[in-house]
This record gives sequence, structure tokens and C-alpha cells, in this order.
Amino acid sequence: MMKKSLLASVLAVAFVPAFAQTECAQPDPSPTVMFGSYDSGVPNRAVQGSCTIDDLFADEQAWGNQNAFLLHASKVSIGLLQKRKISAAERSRLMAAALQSGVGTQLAVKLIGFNDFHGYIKSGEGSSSNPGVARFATKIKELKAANPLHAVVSAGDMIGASPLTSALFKDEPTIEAMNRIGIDFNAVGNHEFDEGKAELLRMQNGGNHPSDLFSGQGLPQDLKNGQFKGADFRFLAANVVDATAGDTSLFPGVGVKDFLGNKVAFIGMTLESTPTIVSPSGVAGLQFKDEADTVNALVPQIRAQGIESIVVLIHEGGFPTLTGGNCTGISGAIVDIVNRLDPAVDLVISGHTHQSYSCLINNAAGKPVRVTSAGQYARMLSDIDLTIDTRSKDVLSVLANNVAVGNSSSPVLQDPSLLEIVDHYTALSAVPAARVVGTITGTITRSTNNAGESALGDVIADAQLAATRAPDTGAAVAAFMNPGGIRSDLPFAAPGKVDGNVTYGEAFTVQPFGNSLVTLTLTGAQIYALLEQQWGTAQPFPRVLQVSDGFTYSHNFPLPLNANLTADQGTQFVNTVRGNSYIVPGSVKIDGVAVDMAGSYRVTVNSFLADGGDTFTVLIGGTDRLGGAVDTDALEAYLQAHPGGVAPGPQNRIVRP
Amino acid sequence: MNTILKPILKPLLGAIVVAGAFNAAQAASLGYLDHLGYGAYNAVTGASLETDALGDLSTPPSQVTLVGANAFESPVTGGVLSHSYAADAFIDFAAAKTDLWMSLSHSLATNAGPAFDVASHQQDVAIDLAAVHMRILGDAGEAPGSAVMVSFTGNASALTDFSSIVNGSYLTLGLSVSRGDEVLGEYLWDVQSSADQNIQFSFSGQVGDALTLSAFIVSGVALDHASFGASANPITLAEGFGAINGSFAVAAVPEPETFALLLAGLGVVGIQLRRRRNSQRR
Repeated sequence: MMKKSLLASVLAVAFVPAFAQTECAQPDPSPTVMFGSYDSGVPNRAVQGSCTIDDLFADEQAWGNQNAFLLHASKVSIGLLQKRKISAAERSRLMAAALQSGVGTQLAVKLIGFNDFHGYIKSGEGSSSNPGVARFATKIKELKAANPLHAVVSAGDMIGASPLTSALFKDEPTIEAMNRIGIDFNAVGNHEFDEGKAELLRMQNGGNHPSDLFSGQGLPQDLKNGQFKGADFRFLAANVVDATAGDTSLFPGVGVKDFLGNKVAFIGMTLESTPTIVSPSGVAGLQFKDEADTVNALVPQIRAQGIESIVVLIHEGGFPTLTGGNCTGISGAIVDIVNRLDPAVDLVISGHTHQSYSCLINNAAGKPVRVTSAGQYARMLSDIDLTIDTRSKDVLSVLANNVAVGNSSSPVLQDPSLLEIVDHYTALSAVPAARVVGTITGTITRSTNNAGESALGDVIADAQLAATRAPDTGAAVAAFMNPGGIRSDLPFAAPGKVDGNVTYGEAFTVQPFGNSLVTLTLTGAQIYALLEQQWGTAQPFPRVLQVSDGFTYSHNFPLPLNANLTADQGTQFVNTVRGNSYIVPGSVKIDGVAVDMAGSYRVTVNSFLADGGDTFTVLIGGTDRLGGAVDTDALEAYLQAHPGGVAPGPQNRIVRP
Repeated sequence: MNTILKPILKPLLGAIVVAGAFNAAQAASLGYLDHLGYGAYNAVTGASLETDALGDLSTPPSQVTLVGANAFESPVTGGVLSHSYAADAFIDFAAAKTDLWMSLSHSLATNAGPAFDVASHQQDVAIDLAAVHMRILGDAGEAPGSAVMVSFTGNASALTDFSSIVNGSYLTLGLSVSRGDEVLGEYLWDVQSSADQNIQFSFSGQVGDALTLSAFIVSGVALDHASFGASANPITLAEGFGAINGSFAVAAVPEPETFALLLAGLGVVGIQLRRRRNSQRR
């Protein structure tokens, strides 16, 4: 008796399939049993409580291979036949349909991609366009929920050049936020190297910073043994070799995620020219290899492991021709890289240019491969659906859409778990934000005169020149600052500070992007071309670069520059003004000496401009690049060097006769 | 009771944990080498033949899969016979265990209509894993020759709902494991009536042993000069299925040193007990 009941329970486990429920909230109303869209022809009906035959076959669920689904179908149908709920003839038809349906031959995997997050965890910090990591997390959660088989991946610059709330704490807040979100891989970008190899390894492995007291300040649940925990996800750096450690890899080059037995390999890397845009100290001893060569060398190794689905996460990108990601004529380094990629690569998730696009670029075999990039600062995510052939294990198709996260006032739910981290660090940063970094003699504003020059622009350009003037810091003779990078005025008086003092928080608010300085060589002709790009064909409105002391020129731009253009003036600008030359020939001088078209000049810009930001593409052609200090550090040093207080700039360098 | 048990419980648990840890480190499994398997359906109605072969969807070395299913209608004098089958076999090789599932079902029915005669009809279906060659693998790097215990635990289920007009019906399930010519475990069921049975056998082996698994399910029914009256509904003449479900597990046999650890632990238990008694004496 005992034995029989035990046997019965064993059999129940064995033959009754894995649906224990006898009631289905919404019984499948299909008149016949369907496998996917394939009609078995077997009449559908309730066979187990309210559950119909169709309900009992989990054809909607993800199956790692066809065999797994057929095994399921076989067991379910035997169970039904054993209980005489279906006839043997119906089982034959169900199994024939299960086979014919192809259910299990393809697997849908969702990839959620982003790039250039740059530590923008706090909503509205730096710009009201920044949604913050709590909204970012909600969007990722939604995308994850759409498919339990997913990976969240980043194409570099997750950290570095970040705003106060993350930067002050050595970007540990960003790593902790990503740990809570749950991401899989981050390919290193150039900014991951901003503070050097040891600091980057610490981001991965954890432990507090050896000297910075703002390290290890996370919430208890984010720490490990009371210290910064490090990333729960893996940094990838396929093309970075540590020459000081026997040519070993700094990080693994490839990360693999298994989806029900279908593996996807992610090759992660930064741009080869990382050393040219990072402070030399940050990349000392490291070698950065050619991107396409690195991928192509790894592909056979990956395939030898039976992996056919290959995604490249690369911190290098392109420039779409129109805002919004028009791919026709996309330019930039990514084009040449993809053109040389092994055809086994199925998808490229790119970054670095802070652009948003989803384009097809030909690989080495002349076949188009999908290349995505999702803007910057948590504002966008790439929602990518891979369809994998479960027999060949290769990617059959790639669908990609960039989805906006929103901005700092979007009605997107802010994930409370992420808000907790943001609030924690916001509170902790209140005191350091009040640190006095220097003094000024009066409010310095970013308001421009009719030549396009502002007092604060003058001061910032002067600070950047001062930081790069010495032979070993760049030997610069001039500095240019983009007006859009000056986000606020420096007030003489403000609540909570002594009049004339400049707090760290104020300096940070003026220049929240954490751009680093880049000194590069331009010809005199390129300097003229750069200035003409202030109203070049691609500019949506005039952008007058702020220039350092000693750099002077005249222009006869025909529209006002001391106020935003009216709608009519804007139309006039677009239709008849931009693209024309307005710099007075021969007027461009450095320290009173006319700039020679054929001469070479060392000039300093921030890393944003150096990469061609604000459509100043002439700067992309700048040579002999040397990375330098972060812009706020340069400003702080400049303020410190003027203990009597820095006066508002003279606004006399740009002249409109 | 507690006062006696408490002092001995700790070392006893220690001994079990020590032995258990060594056992866990010596996991072993079955690895796929190759397979020979087929399955087919044949139906002869008078002079006409319907035949269907199973597809081999195997993805070695992880899975052996054979699947087939189909339905047929065969005309006979004055009417139609409907018959069908479904048969499959799945082996999933994994480190923890090797799962086996085989099933076979078939049916025979008349269609609705006027009276008709069947001179002869014979349908046979087979799923046969004739030879699945496997090797005992030492997952933790055990040397070939390390002793292991291989066990199969599972069950079989069968249904034979055959009308009295059917003759020559049969349903048989079988499973065996051999090493060379030596049969190590065997199960055979010539089904006479619908039932469920459990299957259990085990044998000792060594890491590196090559084993052969054979398993089959066969069934068939026949009609010989059968006559059917007019019917407004189809009449089911035969429904049958057989299924085998189970798993192979390979467990390392504790090495002498593991036994020694176990004994050492038990020795500590003994010492504790003696101490306990001594202290009680004092």
C-alpha cells in the first residue's frame, strides 16, 4: 500500500508536466491547439481544471533548442494520453505539429546597450536633459522585463569626466548604481583610463582608494568588508596590453553569456588612439592595439569554443549626418573599423562620439552589419533584439531601436533603489561642494557682448591656457572654449558662502562635464577654418568660441551675438548666413603677431571640442595631441594662482568693427 | 538524552561532513561517444504501404534526439482506416546526471461511414536506441580506473487499449546497459495490460569504462478480415503508448582514505563518549 502510493507520487512527478496549476486565469481560447503560429488541427478544450490543451504546452516560453521543446511536448502529450484526456491519434497530430512548428529552433535574446554614461547618476546634474540613473534603471527594468533572456552592456566611458555627485567619490557611486541595476559587461573607454591603470583595476576589484578620503562612502549594502566593493560586472579590454606585466591583458577581452545553452560572446575594447586623448600618466605602460585586427584575431578563438553569436562593444564611434541618426554618409573612425571586421561579427555596439544612431555599415565581406550608439549621459538606451538559430548558434537577425530615457522632469518612475544611492551621495557631497577653491572680484557672467565674447569665457580660456602653457603640459599659445560648455555664471554672492568666494560646487556647476584638456597642433589655416566653423554650414545657431588672453581677431558676422536669435533671424541664419566667411583676413593674431596660414600653433581645447564637438570638425584634424587636466582643476589652479581674486574677463579679444 | 547527544553530535557531524566533502569532490558522469538509433512506422493495408522514419535531431555530445510523428488515412473496400504514430527518444548528457526519455504511441480507427471490410491491415512502430556508446568520465580529474557506482532510476508506463477485433497486438519496452559482452543492468517489459513500473539497477564501474546503452519501445496491431457496420461516428480500434523516463547518475565510491577519515571521525565520537562517561563517573 505504502509502496504503491510512493510509486504513484514518483509517477506523478515523472509524467505530469511542470504545470502544477489546475486553473488557468485566462484559458487559451484558441479553437485548435497552436504551436506558435502552427495549427495542429487538434480541437482545443479544457483538460485540467480550466486549463486547455493549448495552455499546457509552453510553446510561448523560450526554449534553448528545438529538442528541449519536443521533449516537453512529448511528456505533456503522454501525460494527457495516460489520463485519457486526448486520444493517441490526437497525440500523433500534436507531436507532428510540434515538430513542424519549428518552436525552439530560434531564440530571442534582448541586448540593452548604452555608452558614455559618464557618471550622470543624478537627475538634472549638469543639464536638465540628464534623466539620472533612477529613471535609467526603470527603463532598463522595463526592457529586461520584456525578455528574461537579456544582457545589459556598455560601450565605454561609464565613468570618468563625471559630475560632482559621482566624481567626488571617485566614481564609486556609478559602479554601485550599475551593480544595483545589474549589468553584464562594460568595455573600457578612454575615460576609464583617466586616473590610470591602478584606479581602473580598483573599479573592477574593489577596495578603497589609497589616499582619497571620499572613497568607500557607499551605503553598507553596497560595500564589501566596509570598503568599496568593485564592479559586479566585468570590464572588458581586448585591445589593451599591459607591457609592464609581461604583455598580459589588463582585463579579459571577451565576456560570454549563456542563454539556455546558446552562448553570446562580447568582445570589448576602447579606441586604439586612447593614449592620444588621455593624460599620458593614465596609460603609462599600456599598449592599445588596432581595433579590427584585435576582433579578427579573437573570432577564431571564440568560434573554436562553439560560439557563433559575436557582439563587439567598442568605445569608438561615428557621426551620423543629421541629428536623429540618419545613417546616410555616416562618418567617423567606426566606419573603417567595421569595414575591416570579420563577417562572423553580428553586431557592433559603439560609443565615444556621444551620438545616437542605429546604422548598417559593411563588414570585410561587404555585408551590412548593425552598428548602434545611444547618445550620452543616461539619456538613451539601445533596445536590441537578437534572433539566434539554436542549431547553428549563430545570429539570424538583429533589430535595434534607440529609446529615450527622458530628462530630469520626465514622468518616468525613478527606481527607489537607485534614488537611495543618489540621495546618499548628494547628502555626502553637500559639504565638499561648499569647499572654497578661490576668489573673484565680482560676478563673472557668461553673457556675451555683440562680438560673442563673455567675461566668464575669457576667464575659463585663460585658465585653460595657463594649465597648458608650460612646455611639459602642452606648450600651448592659445585656448578655445565652447560657449555651450559654460553652464552657469560664477556669482560674487550666494547663500551659504562669503562674498567673493568661489565654491567647488559653483565651479563644478559652471563646468559640469568634467572634460579634460587636450592640446593639439593646428596650422594657421586650420585656425581660420575653425573660426569660420562658428557659423559653419552644420551649426544650428552661431557658436562663438571663447578665446584666451593674447588671441585676437575681428569678424563682420551680420546677426546679433549678444542675444539669442529671433525666429526670423534664425531662419535668416540657416538660409543665407551660415557657411559664409566673416573673419577679417589677416586679423587673427597671437600676442599681436598675425597668424601665418602655413604656421603651426599649439592650441588647447577641451576633450569635447577636440573630438569635433559642436561641429567644430576642424579640431578632429589637430595633430600631436596631449591630454591634460580636467577643466575644473585647471580653473581651480587658475583661481589659486590669483589670491587677490580673479576679475571678470575684459571681453576685448573678439572685435566686431 | 540531549546531554548525551550534544557532545557527540559535533564530531559525528564533522565526520559526515568530511566524508561528504570528499565524495562531492569526486563527481563523475557519463559522456557521449556516439550513437546508433532509429525509429520507423510501417503500415500495410492490403497491398498499399505507408511508411515514415524518425528524424535524428541529435546535437552531440550533449543531446541524442530522435523524433517522428505522422497520421495517415488508408482506403479500404468501402471505407477508410485512420492510423497514426508518434515516437521519440531523448538523452540529455549533463554533469549532474544523464536523463533518458522515450515514448511511443499509435492509434487505429475507422472513419464514419457505411459498412466496409478490411482484408488486412498491419501497423508497426518502433523507437530503438540500438547502441548509445558512452564513457564514464571523472569530472574532477579522477584517474582512469577510479571506482564508481552507476545507477539508473526511472519508471515505465504503458497503455494498451486495443479493441477485441484487433489481433496480433503487442507492446514491449526494454532497456539494457552493457560493457563489452557483459550485461550490467537490464529491464524488459512485455506489456500485457496498462500499468506503471519502476526501473532501478546499479552496477560498479571505473572511470574510463566504455558502456553501451540500448533501449527500445515497439508496438503494433493488425486487422485480419475485419468487417464493420455503418457508423455515424469514427470507431477507435487501437490506442497504445509506452514511455520510459529515468536518469543515470554516477557516484564516486569512497576511496580508502575517505573511509579512514570517516573512521577517524567516528573514533573522535567514541573518545567523546568515553570522556562523557568518565566525567559522569566523577
